[in-house]
Amino acid sequence: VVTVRSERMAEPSGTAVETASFESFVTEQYARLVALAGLIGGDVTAAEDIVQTALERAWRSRGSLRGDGTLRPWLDRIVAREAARDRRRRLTWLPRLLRPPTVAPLQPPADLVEDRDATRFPERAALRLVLDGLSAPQRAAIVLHLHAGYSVDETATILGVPRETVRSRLRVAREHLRRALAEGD
Amino acid sequence: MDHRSTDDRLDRLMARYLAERDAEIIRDARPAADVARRARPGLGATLAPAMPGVRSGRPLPLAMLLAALLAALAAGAAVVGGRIIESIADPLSGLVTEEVAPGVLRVINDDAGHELAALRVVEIAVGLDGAVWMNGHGGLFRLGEPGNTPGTTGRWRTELAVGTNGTVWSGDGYGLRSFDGERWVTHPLGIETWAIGPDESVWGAWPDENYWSRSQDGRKPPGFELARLEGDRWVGMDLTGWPDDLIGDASSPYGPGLSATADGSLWLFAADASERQVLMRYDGTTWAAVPTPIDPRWITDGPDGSWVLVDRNVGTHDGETWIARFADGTWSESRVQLPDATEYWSEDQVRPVVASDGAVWLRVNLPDSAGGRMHVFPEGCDGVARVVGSAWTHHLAGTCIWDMEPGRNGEVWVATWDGDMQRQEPGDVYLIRPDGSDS
Repeated sequence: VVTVRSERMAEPSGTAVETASFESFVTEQYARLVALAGLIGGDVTAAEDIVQTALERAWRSRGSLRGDGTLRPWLDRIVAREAARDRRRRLTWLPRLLRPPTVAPLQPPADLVEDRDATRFPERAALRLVLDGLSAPQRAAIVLHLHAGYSVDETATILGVPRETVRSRLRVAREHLRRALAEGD
Repeated sequence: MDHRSTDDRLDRLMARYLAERDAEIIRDARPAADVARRARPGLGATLAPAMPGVRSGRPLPLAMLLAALLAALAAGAAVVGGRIIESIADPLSGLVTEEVAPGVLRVINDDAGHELAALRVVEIAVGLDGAVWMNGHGGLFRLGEPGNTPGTTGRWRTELAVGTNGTVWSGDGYGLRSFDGERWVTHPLGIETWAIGPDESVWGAWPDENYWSRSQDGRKPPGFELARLEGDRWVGMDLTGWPDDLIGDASSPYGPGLSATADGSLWLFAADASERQVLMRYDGTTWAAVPTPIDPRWITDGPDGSWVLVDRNVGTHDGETWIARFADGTWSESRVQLPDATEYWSEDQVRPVVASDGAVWLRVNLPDSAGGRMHVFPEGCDGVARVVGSAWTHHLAGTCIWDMEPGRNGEVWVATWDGDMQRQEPGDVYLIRPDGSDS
């Protein structure tokens, strides 16, 4: 048994997020949240369902939010976690067996054949191959840091992992991409 | 090209690809306004009551109304303003109610003058003496007793609990209060996840990395902590030897869960880093993991001292729901088939309860009749299901639930969102009798 400083543990409740703020935020940010879910979950068709689920979770637990200033990272976190959870659900052992291996021969995905920017095809194919092959937690780190604009520390906080874990996930993604691009040259 | 510039180039490539994919996804997404309407009840909710007091949106058959009217008149009730009013006798004398469906009573007020809808009840607890305690925007009060508990008005998330010796507890981040039947004692150290354990010990749990619930001075709470209140301080447990990465999932908005059962056991619900549910039990001396036949969502008292577990994934698998009971040293499971695609909020704050007649009550979220798609507010709120064995009945259709609490005679108290579902704030309180059915 260890003693914990009592003042550190005492958490006064804050003001629940205002209804109008939540409503306004959802309206403004909905498309961005769907994109976030789609990028992390990897299944665009499921992205809207993921966001709806996340919004319900957020709404029900909004009493724990402290002020409007943290609304975006708070909601992004819920969406990110829900998207990761959805991806894990879909990628059970059977789909994993059927899924192409991460280090697959670099073949153009069918829907990229008509990519209008032919010069970017190998690069885009490599990016898609690499990012699709990442696990949900890895994708979440990449998307939040490189796309949503969160710092490494903020990403770590949002995902609830140590800062070094985020850095490690970034390194892994870079390494995969480096190899994929080298193979495509 | 040095290592850092290579990393920057790779990062830029990934960022550009993600931005392009983002644009593609947004292009295909539905208009925001359409979704905002689903996202909260205040926007475009159209489920208007079919008649005053009918919350389900389904008009009652005329014959049913006439029968209820005749029954009420025969029982000596009065008709006021077109509503059917009756006074319920023992054990809940003094309540003014209207029967909105067979067995489903909307409680309007009590003989102490509390207008329940106006008080916006969020939490309900039933004491060992049968007294009904309610908390909401109107403060904390006991049904039938005038006045509120001092210092409790307006708390939104104040939890209520009854200890094994009948002490009533109320608490939130502002503090904990206990009522021994004569006086209230205030404990200044607040917490949002707490439960009363063996010998009336108070336990609290803090989620790991729950960064948005940082205290108002900006300090982040520590990693997961389980602690017991001793005097004026929390004493944390040494969690050495507990499952690895326990509470990994508690970085979710919901954190760990604490529950107590009448035998004095204290239960901790958590998840490890793999999101596997872990159920820990404290018997007054030690904590130990309890193997369970189903993924536990919540544990509560069943009849005859048994424990009842409800599946974490109620209804998420084609409506299939599992309930497990522990009695005489063994678990037994029962399967309930809710409608296909029934969705139940696996981490819902509305906890399943077991009534004194053994029926299990769940908050449910039935499929939308238009296409079977799950919706959020308000369409996703669909009342409660009363489960007996493998059969179930549906009550308060279309109503969002804040809390449920079993009474002492098989009935269940239900605090709901505002009945017309144009607002998300708490509204009415219902009392559902065990023999009622509006399925």
